Amino acid sequence: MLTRLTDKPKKTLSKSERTIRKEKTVSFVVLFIVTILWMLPLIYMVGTSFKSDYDLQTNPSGLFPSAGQWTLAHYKSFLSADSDAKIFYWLGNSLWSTLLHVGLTVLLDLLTAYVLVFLNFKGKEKFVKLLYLWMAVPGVIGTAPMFAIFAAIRNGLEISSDAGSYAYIFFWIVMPGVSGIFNMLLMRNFFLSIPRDIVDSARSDGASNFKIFTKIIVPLARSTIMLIVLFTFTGSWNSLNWPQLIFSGEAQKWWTVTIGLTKFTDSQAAAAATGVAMATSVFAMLPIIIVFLFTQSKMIDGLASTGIKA
Amino acid sequence: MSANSAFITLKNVEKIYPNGEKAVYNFNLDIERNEFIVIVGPSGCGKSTTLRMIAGLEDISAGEIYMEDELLNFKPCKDRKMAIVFQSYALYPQMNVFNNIAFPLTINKYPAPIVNSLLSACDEVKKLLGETDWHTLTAALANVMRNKGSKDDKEERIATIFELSIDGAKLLYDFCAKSASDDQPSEDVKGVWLERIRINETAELEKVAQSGIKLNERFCEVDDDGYEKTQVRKLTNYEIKKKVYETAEKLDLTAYLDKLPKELSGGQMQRVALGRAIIKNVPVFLMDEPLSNLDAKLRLTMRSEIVKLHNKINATTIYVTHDQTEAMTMASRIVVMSRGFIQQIGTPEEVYNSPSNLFVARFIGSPSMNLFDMKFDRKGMRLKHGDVSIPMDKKFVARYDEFYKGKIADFQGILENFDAQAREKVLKIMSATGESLSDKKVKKKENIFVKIKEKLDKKKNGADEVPKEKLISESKLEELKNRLHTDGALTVGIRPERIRIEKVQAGKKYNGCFITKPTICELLGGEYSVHFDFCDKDVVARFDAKSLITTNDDIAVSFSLEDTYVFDPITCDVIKELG
Repeated sequence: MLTRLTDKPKKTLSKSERTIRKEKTVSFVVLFIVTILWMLPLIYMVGTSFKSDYDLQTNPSGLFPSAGQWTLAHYKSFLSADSDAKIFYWLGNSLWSTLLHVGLTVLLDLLTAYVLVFLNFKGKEKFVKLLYLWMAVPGVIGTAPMFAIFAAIRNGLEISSDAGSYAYIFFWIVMPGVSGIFNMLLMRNFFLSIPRDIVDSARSDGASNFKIFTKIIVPLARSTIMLIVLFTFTGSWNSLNWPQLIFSGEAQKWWTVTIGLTKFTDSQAAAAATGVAMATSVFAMLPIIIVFLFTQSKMIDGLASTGIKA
Repeated sequence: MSANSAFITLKNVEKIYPNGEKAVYNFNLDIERNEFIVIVGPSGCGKSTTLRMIAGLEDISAGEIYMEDELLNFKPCKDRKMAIVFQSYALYPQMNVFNNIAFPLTINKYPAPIVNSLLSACDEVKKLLGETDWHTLTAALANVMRNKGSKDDKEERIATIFELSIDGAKLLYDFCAKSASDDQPSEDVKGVWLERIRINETAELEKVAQSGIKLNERFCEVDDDGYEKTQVRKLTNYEIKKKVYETAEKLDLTAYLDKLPKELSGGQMQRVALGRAIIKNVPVFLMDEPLSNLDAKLRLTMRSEIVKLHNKINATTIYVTHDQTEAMTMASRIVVMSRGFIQQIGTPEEVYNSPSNLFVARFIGSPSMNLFDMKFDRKGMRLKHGDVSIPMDKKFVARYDEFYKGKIADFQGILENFDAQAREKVLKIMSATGESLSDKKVKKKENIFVKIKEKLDKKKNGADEVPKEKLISESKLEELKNRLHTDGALTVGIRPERIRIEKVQAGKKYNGCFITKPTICELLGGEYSVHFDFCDKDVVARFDAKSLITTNDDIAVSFSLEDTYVFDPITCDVIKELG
């Protein structure tokens, strides 16, 4: 793009055009540099995962393996059945819990936002204020009390069977994050931007709240839904602290991917396992990249279709 | 409830918003069937709020709304048999035009008679075979069958071509399909088809007879007394399609049915919104400034189209606008509102020719009425301003006295017992005069400290505080009392078209005329709007554009006393009307 700008035949530009062009160029350069900085570790991770053990020792700083040293050995080592890394169990656990988490979050956010924007009830304004206040409380503060409740209920219910413990733990993996306030308010703000007339009109057309919600509001909210899907998917997939806390002492099969990865990256892991650590990381990142590619295009799509005078 | 003769009745309807602001005061209106009511007023006068209360989108704070003697107050919006058209069109952005128009049909259920579909289909096809020429029929059928499309499409096409119900079309389609797949085509296809119909009919009739259901001649299920039974059901896709196409045709929208709202122009969007309203087939239309977002030319065409539509479908329309031209041209009756109060209700002629107060006189008419202040010399029976003096007759003096005596009595009544009602009376007068309660319009910053301080202040002052309305009415009463013995200013009004202007020609005498020079001459095409100064006010008059007029010409201005209005500037009520 930079070259194309300079290649163009010289022609007198108006002052505003010149400023726009200048601003564009500056922002492009800044964004380009930031992107490179952000990409570097990723590229290093992907490159290192293909390095042979020998290359890892001799050429640790190279972005990519040196010539002839490309190998898939690290991938093979953890993908093979006899490895003690149960990557497919972890992926499965992560995937279903994350999808459930995302689904429930979107549903809850949509419902809450609809009620807060389109229905009238006593104390609505106060409730919204409460939500804002709630958002000001950092989530980490809740970790200790939450763990106490988690343990107390588990003891109280006397869950001893494997299936019971599995279900109970994943209930606690999925549920706490579902009520994230930020996404609720994001959805509420989007709903506030929907012209009131559209809802009034649907109401006078004979639509019940359920019909308005499913036929008018949710299709309009597609872009915001995609945004929330992206946020919560990455958040839930990458969450480490809380799962690590409640999975401590549980069977390895039950772990999620992020906990599994710590097995390769913590201090006890041998230096030789660096390659495997990188390979598992790359593997674990694939779902997020897929979700990003999918939601990102839809997000722009949705934004374009809602930008309408109506 | 006593029987009202009117179609829709609004009785003492009021709206108070949760923040204590009163938007509509004491709204009374009877609407007859097929009337075109226009509620007009400046922005923020409560006209849209009133409409939304009728529609059920806004709670009614006080009063009652009846439709055909049925109380509407607590009826949900969707059951009110009304259709609303919004200023913003309120089209559903993610649906195409077809789905937008079809939306009310897809979500509602409608009562329909229970028809035995097989028997009615057989009957229809039998009639069709009997009436239509066999060759043209088969040719048309073959044409449909040959074309591409799904089974449903073809059936629908058959239904439209032969004006059949969808069941009849399905039967015919089955016949065609069977005949086509027959290995040995029969010579007498028609005979085979008729035979099939006969078999179907007898089998179905037997089944019906066994189940004990009674059918009438239209194959509808009837109860023991011979009345058709009905069921509430959703419309089928074919029924919806048919209705949408009908509506789209009425509004010239057929070409745009699969477009999204964002691809349409403002006028087209407005037509889609109208289509969505008329497809509901309801008796009442509510329109909230539907034309304000359109450009001037389109507004003109849409204006007449809406009136035409209103007449065509025999609807009752309530139309809200801030544009007095729309009100004058469309309405069968106009409701003029200001600050939540009805100022006048009447036909366009009534509102134009005999405005009830200064506000209506100013608001209705374009260019608006010329108004100028003159002193009334009661002894000399003359209206005076500078050199200008207009003689008035005894009748006027009598009316003048009577008017002010009445007003003084009114205000004394108000002040005697200053309750909420009296307060509203004062507010109503102020809504016409345009005075406001607070001197400063700037709203105080509302935060918790201000609120606490206000509360404390109130406690200190307690009940000593005199309501501002009372102070205002006291001062007004003083002024009114003065009118009876001293000369007071009056506001004289005259419509631009009632002022006679002549170009001054040398040598001609102009008796009783006021000679001046125009300040501006605006050519409107057929006529001029001539501005000139009179009694220190800018006055507009019309002048036929047959002859040229410029600001250099002298003009002789005259008007007859019959064409003037006289208003009282204190209460803005009318003292003297036309004639």
